[in-house]
Amino acid sequence: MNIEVKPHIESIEIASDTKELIRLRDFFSNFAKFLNISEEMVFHINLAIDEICSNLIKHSYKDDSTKRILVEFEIINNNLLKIRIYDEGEPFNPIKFNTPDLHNHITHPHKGGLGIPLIKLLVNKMTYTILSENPQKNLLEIEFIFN
Amino acid sequence: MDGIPKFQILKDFSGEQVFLNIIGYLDAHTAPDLEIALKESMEKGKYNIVVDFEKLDYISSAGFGVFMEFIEEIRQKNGDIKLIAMNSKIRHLFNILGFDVLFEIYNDKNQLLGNN
Repeated sequence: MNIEVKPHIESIEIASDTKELIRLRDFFSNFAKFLNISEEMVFHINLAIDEICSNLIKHSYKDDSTKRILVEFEIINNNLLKIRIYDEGEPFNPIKFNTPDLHNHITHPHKGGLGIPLIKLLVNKMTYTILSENPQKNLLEIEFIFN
Repeated sequence: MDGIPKFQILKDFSGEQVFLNIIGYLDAHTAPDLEIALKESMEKGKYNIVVDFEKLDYISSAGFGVFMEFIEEIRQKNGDIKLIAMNSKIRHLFNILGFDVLFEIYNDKNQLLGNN
């Protein structure tokens, strides 16, 4: 018997304003109650989406709070979480962005540049796509494997 | 709004060691307040700072960045930023980042004071 499992997708839109980050994390924390994942994993996923959105707010949108970010969560087969983050700002591909590795931060502590190495440590997979250019629409998709 | 944690930094400048109690979460929105608190301490000439994580549920790179921003200057002034009472998730994050070699981390005030 073939049972067709409909994908479980939830989404939230936030304004490009750092005060929205707590609302995004709260949304995911609630969504995660339906997943059988550890508290630590919820923390890490929240951290990854926080870092990505913080970068978009600051760099792609230059703190313009009239802009929006859409975050979509999809659970597949109860063991794969795909998160898609859509923005309409200046394209910024964290995968291609070269940052000094974390060791550099230990020998030369300084303020910035921790977000991208941290995202790369936390996610299982990350892909970046420019969906369109007029109007600009960009997509960063990250994946987490659990169970 | 129910269920959404608040954020606050409680500052105690009364003693030799400054105690900063961070309540809630340290992200890109709240990290500037920690920056302000550390700058305030330094302006008062107080470079021995203890940051209490007991009521901190969450930290992102913005929070880490504040510690990184000031640690060298504070140590150059013969002070330090010591960290106490982290929950296991935050402690683990410090480990993953390798920052546990950069900071003295204690379980609680007693352990911190026992080492002085």
